[in-house]
Amino acid sequence: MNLKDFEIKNFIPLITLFILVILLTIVNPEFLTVYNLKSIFIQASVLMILSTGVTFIILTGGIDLSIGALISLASVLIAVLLPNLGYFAFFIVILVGALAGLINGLVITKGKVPSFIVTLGTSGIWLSLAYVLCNGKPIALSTKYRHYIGWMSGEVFGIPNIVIIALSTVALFWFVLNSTTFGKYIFSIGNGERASILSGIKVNRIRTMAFMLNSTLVAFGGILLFGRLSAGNPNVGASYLLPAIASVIVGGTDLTGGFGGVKRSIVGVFIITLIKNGMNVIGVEAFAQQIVFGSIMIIFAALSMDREKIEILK
Amino acid sequence: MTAPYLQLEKMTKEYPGVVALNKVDIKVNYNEVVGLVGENGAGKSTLLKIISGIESPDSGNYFLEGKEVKYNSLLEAHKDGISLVFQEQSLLPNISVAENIFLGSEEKYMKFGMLNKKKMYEETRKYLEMVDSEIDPGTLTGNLEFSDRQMIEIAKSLRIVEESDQKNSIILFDEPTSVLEDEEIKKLFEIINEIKKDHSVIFVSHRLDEVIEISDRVYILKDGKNVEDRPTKNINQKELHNLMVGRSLQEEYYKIKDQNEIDYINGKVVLATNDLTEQKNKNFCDCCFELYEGEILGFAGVQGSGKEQLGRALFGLEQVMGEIKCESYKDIIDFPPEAINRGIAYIPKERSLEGLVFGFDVNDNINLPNYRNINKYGVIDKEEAKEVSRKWVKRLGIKTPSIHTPSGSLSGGNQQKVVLAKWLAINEINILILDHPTRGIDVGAKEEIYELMREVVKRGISIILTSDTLEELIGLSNRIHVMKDGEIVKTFMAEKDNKPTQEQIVSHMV
Amino acid sequence: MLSFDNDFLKKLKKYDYTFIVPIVFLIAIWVTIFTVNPLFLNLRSILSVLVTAVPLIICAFGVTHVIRLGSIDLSIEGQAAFSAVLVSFLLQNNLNNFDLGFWAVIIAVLATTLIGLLNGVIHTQVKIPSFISSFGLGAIATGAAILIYRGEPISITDNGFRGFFTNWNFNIPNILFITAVVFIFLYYLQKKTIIGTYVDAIGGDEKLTRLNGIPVDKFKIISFGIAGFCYGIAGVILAARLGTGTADLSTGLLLNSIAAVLLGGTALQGGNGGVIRTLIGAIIISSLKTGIIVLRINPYFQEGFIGIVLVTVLLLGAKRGKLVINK
Repeated sequence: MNLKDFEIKNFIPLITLFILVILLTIVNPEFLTVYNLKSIFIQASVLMILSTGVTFIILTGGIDLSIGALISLASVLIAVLLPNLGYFAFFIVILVGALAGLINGLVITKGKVPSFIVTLGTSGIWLSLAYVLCNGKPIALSTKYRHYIGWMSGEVFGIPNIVIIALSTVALFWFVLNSTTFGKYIFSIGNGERASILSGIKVNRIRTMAFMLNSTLVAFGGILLFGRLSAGNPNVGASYLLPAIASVIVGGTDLTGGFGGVKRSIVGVFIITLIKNGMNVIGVEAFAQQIVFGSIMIIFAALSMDREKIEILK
Repeated sequence: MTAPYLQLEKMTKEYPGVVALNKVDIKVNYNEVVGLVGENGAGKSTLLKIISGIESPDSGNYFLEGKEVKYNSLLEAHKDGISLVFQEQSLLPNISVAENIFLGSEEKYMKFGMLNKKKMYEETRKYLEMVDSEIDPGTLTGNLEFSDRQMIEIAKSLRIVEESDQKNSIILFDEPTSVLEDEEIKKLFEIINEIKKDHSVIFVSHRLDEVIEISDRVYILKDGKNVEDRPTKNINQKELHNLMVGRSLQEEYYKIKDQNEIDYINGKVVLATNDLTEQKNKNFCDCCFELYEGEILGFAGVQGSGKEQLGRALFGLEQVMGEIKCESYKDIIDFPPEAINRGIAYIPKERSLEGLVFGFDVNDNINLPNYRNINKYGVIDKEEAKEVSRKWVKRLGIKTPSIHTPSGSLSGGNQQKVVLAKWLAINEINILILDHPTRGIDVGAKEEIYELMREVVKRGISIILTSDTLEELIGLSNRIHVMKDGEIVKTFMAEKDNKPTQEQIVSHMV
Repeated sequence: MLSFDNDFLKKLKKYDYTFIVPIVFLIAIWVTIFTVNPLFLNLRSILSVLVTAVPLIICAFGVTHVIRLGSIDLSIEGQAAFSAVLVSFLLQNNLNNFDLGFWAVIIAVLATTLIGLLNGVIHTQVKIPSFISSFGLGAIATGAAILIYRGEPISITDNGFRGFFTNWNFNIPNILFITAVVFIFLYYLQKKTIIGTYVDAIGGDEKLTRLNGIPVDKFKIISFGIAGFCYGIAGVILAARLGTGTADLSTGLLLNSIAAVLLGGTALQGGNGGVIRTLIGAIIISSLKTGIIVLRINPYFQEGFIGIVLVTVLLLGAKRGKLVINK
């Protein structure tokens, strides 16, 4: 339990979510119908998976700017490989994701370079690969192979498969974060890296594993996205970077690391998704979304940061 | 009797957990050099920080030439002619010498925002001449040697003195000679004697002979309080040292009667080093020593002697060459997990940064190295963890409302007990490296820790102890290695009934 | 912050390899290009390469000031896009009745300078790390840009404006004169004013600088403002050369500008470097991209290659030490 668990500012994301739900219901009485809620959950699915991975990274005090590029790469890669390798293609794409995370992690830990710049560099590499693989144009999945993505598009007892997948993934990693040694080490590193090193925690290894985990989840997200669009698209990832990071920050996970978690990020995901949704309903242009997300990200980052922890801000 | 130039009355300053200054009085007359001595932690640095404007006192009065003053920053004090020559140097490494000397007061050389560098350099040369330095004003400060930089630091203070509106000024010197050679120290004393003709000086140093030579009067501080002040013509080093150090060895306090008897002939050596050398900065060289089972081995030395780095090297925190023989291994330890595997634990000096994970509660902090032992396929056994922490909270007498209390709310002494608990909870640990273990802890808690140390060695654990308080080191250790400039220069036996004196040890430290 | 690491400095004293290596690298690249395609070996071709590199060069100049502080600015693309769109919105165009001529340029550059200052203010006063404040602000700027043209690209019809930026005089493109002017102005700021001194001081050791009483926040804000100023100019140039105002004009500028700064030899931690190094770095980046095209490698590899080069440079320049904390 943390000193900060009981401060008022922890409840701001939940309160915000609550207010949003109320506002949207007022504007649109259809909001709280099963049909609409289903659609919101479907919309939020990919983002839920992405932000779970990003949560681990931000908890260690880092950031990953390459997730957009990696999603694009994953979606293009699966589109290219599926016709040739069948189900094995999914496995390969996940592996590629893990490899991407490994590269990020190694350069950051061995090279002792800040994560934002390494991931900026690797984002260029992944995006390049994505464009090269598809020659700059989206690859549609032909109907011949549609059955491969059936597992993503069905429903079970009225709940869309994709939502079940997303929620189970989130639940699994929530468990990992809160009940395993790995999770404990992640919080430890974020809260006190020097003390963690001096307690015998293999910080470099844990950090690299966090980046691998994140990238694997991102690749998985790319696969799900591919399933929803039935196409691999090198441009699709760019619009997920800001929302993924914003969700985690808006959810209340502290940028300086060590405080927060998967539950909070999911709250953040829904705040973001509802805002998107709401903007469409009110008729505000999708273009303005970036303005809103950028602003709330800054505001919530300011609120959630523990300034006593860092002496110098760069 | 004329009024003093500078006078501080009843200065009090507290930091979390420790009272740095307790109603300290100090007075400096015109054209006087006042020395300031005391052990580490006596309050000298804090006093200097308050006089120079870096910090504000919690209470007390500060008078300059009879008028009460209050400074909120270094620059404000500069205007009144008060400047500090820092111990760790305030010069910025990646700007030029001239820029450093005039840092903060460049307006005189600016026109429409543009710096007249030529004029600045000219003026810089003037000040550099005053300290007999021929360095080019355009040199990047970071490229210079320590001693050159110290001279520039002094030149900077001379500049501040000249530019101030006051007729009289004061320059504070904080351990200025630690990086200087004999020649340069002579030069420094010449400069100070020149300064004395018009201004005043406060001179802080560990080197008592220097203090006596250069000062007219000397103040002795101990534990944040005034001990005495004497004219230097009436005092010698030995007296000064005694005043600094004060109380005689307290048998009760350090539980000396409980000290383990170590059989140095047949006893088991649990750790030995061979030619251990720190590679990067040469903090220590060719260190060879042995640690016996159940022993408390103390390391004495001034700052920079390498004693702290030696301890850290045993935990894998420094890049070293040589051998560390422990268990069946001989090679050096690369990083903490290796040290832990060999049964070595380290309790760091910086408790809040390195000892405890501050956002964690007591339970998590005690179990942090232990979690890898109490999990099934990675899933932590939370019940067992709680049992472990409850057990150790009880055993060590840690005063906390519950094991789920955030570690940050515990007092210094109890925090340190948590750090100890975390390593004692691991059975394989049989060597503890304690780096200034009672720093920032009140007297009562210190005693409890000393008791713990005695208990723990009785069970076969061995301790390597580093401390700035010589008295503590002597009281607790079985043996003491004195380090100077990175080498072990002398070893003292410190048996129950035959403890060495502080003077004996100090004479080898400096 | 091992600023006084003696071994490293002794090497530096002998020869400043962080300055020489990039130059050598640049020469190597051009030698390769000329060998593969000797037709390139004429002034006009080289100048054309430089011309396409101008927005990158100027953005890199801008972000240099932030990196020297030890901070980062991820808002480059957003601010440049905003400037490009704003300027096309205010010039004679196919969408509205504005025709402000050069006032449009002034307004656009002023706007991004203000955004830059805001960036610095948010970072220093709200006290959040620069990568988040600039990331967020960049998104806001991009959103604002998109909002201005609402999906329909603006076509600039003011030919005088476009001409100014595309013509050549004395056999040298106007744009290069402009770049030279900006360069001289920034160099002057760096070497001859207090800004240069204090920025280096802050980047070298912020705590110590504050201790000396220097108003650190003020100079951080100024640096971010200078950066914004540069992005604005770059945006205007982009709009002029392409004749339209859309938000994706600035794509790629972020990675390439930062890579340019680092390749030029400026350290990521701050405290050294400047526009000269960045100029070399930016030319290296453009040359690398040109090289990829000349060598007939798939142009989509350009960004990836720059990414690899960036990561490699980071690995090479990494700090060694046991307890270096990195996030």
